[in-house]
Amino acid sequence: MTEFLSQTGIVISVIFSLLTIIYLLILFILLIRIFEQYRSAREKIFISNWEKKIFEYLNEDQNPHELIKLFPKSTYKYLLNNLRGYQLMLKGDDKEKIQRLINQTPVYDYLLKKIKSFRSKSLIFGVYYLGLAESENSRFIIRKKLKTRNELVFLTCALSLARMNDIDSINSIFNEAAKFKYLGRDTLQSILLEFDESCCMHLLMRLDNEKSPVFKSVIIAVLKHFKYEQGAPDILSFLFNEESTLVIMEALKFFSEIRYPGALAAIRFYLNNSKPELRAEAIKAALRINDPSLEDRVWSLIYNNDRIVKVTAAETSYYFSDASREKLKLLAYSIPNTIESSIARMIISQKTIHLN
Amino acid sequence: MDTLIKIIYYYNYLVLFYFLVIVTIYLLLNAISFRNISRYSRKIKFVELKEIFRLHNFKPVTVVVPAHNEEKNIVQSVHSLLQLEYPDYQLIVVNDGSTDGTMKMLFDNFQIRQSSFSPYYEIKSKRIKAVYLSPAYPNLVIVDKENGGKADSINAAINISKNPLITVIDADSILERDCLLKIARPFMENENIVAVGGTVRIANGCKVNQGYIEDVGLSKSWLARFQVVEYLRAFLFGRNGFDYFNGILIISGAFSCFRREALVSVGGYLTGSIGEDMEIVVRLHKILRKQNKKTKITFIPDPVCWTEAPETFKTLASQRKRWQKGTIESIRLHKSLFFNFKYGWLGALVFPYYVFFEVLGPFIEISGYAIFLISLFIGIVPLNFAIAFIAASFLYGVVLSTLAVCLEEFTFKKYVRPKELLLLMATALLENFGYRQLTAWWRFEGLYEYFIGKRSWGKMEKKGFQKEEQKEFSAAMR
Repeated sequence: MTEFLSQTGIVISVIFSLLTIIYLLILFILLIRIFEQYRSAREKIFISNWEKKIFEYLNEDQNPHELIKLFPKSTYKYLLNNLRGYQLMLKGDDKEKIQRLINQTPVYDYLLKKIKSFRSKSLIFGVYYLGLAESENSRFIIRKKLKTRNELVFLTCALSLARMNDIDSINSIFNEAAKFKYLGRDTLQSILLEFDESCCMHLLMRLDNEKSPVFKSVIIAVLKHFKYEQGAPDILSFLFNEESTLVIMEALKFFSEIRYPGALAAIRFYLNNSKPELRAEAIKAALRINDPSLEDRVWSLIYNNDRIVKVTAAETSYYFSDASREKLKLLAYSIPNTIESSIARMIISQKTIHLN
Repeated sequence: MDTLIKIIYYYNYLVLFYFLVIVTIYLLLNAISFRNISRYSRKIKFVELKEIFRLHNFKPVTVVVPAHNEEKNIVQSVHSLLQLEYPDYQLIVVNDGSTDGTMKMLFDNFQIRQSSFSPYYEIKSKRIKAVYLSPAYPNLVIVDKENGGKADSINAAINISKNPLITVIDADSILERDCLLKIARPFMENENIVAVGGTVRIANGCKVNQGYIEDVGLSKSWLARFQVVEYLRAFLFGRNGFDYFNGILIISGAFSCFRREALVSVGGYLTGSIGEDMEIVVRLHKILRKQNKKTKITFIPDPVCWTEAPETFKTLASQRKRWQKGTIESIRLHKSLFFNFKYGWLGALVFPYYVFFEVLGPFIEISGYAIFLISLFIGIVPLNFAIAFIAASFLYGVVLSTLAVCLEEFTFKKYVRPKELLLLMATALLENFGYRQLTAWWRFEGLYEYFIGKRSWGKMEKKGFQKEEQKEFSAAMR
């Protein structure tokens, strides 16, 4: 033991190594801070020059080349960072003018160089800004970059293609998305919502052959967002044979959103479904379509054995018609005090509290 | 006597082995965290969080604030919580049988009116006496219930809320205005995520205005500053590193977000527990990962919540003992996870780590110091080696603390003034000389008290933020 422990030399060398590491870390922290201060000072100077010029550019018919010439290449990242806000905020001519600043100037070559880089950081940077500028010329390169094992690269490419409204890449986006185990449906949906309404026809075509319930539900959610009524018959045609709760829920929401009267039979069918979440969703759809033939069935679901269904039915009845609302009020103050009457009281109290 | 010397002799080896293992684990966690945080920073760089307002697929959130005798803070807290940035959220304040004027303050300031409430307890909780709504603040719900503790209050709020996400905060937590946007994102990205924790920072020394951090600063108290570095280490390295293994076992009660259905399916929070924050997370892992192997509990490194740290030794000791007891309790309740390979890295690595280094760690550390001194005294360990070894272990601690400051500077840069950065670095150096040993002692006391059956919560005295300003604020609001 003593022999082993007396090897103080080893421990002392460890001490020196640790001291060196501490020294280097402190130096690193200070360097980061100095660099950051320098960068932020440069950006401040850039912004002070830039803001005036960008407003002049937007107000006058200035050549984008002339404006970009004023900025050295080393300030392009500040430029892009500043343009980002404008691109997300502006619409119409102003947005196009900003996009021209990227697409028709050396900034485009700068970004193109970035997306050809092997470093994912540069690649993401380039793809993101080219997507934001809806740069048509780069879409083929971005499509190729979509095929990657890096989830962040995939997401940025998909987002950029969606911003460019590159309809032809929809299938590739789905095919590649399937390779990522943890990709959420909300993420995919958010990306698809960046396309414009013209994507609906393609999504509908894909829906016909789609096997994955997750993708099916995402497609229906996007169709719902764009209120794509032409898709209703197709969705209705497979709904009765559909097994996935996720897909059925989304389909009911879709019918509800577009108030599709053709879905009455489906809604009636799901009002009697064994799954409470589907019954509850069907009740909500029934309210939106507001067909009088559904009123009694919705009312009767207040006496359903599931609490969520009871509450949804009571809430729906409050809005369904004046007659339903009166029935609900009667139930609320009926004797004896039951679960149903207590729910009715709760709904009425919540709905009227702002009126009292 | 020979046997005793032999025991001491081998115990030194054990402590040395323990030290080497923990060094390796920390280095591993550090490396993983550096990688994860730089990836995360790259990821959020291009994300416009407010874009979520435009989307139709965001998830409504319920913010739950359990309040027990919070008359001093409650009005300001609620006002600031009503200003959070999120398209659809509900704020449920649970008055947990307060005996002070908490309810009166809420009545006076928010024009609340009693609503008929239909009691339906999906999760067991103490009786809800009344539910109040406010015509002036449509997303505010006040629940008045019998006293049952923090866990019970959260359970009551879960029963009332119907939103898919539940965010639990402490009544005195100071949140970043965009915290919900940040915490809700992982749920949108991955359906298998059932809980998300956020980074909690120390608010002592910061300027708080109307419930929000206006200016980040460092406290004048060394004790609070030590905790700043300690929190940086725990959140930036510890939790981030464990996240890689899907092995987060603690999400701070000051700010956490859960899927409601997940909480309901495991029966909600465990009432009467000392460490309910940790227990619920371990139980979520245990039950839900059995049903779905992809279930994930994750963590976002963004600083989203600020909390007041104790500035007296007495309060800090009480807090650390309680944390230690909470950890032991959660580990004991879910001991079946210990080396349970069905749970992947969690059972194979993270849970045993908690047993050996979090539960037993203080005992090994304190006894190690004692045995080392005895060994020195009886001549088993030569003096020059002892000094060198202690210096190495202290310096190693300095490396870890400096790394945490380095990562903070590399990513979030919350301490903008150069003076504060220098002070933070000095704190990182000094924290290892005395403060860490002291916390190890308190944890050891917690361990001892737990095993002798002294499992009470203990009192937490808090100074509160800028009290004068708070009074003015309440008066103005009234």
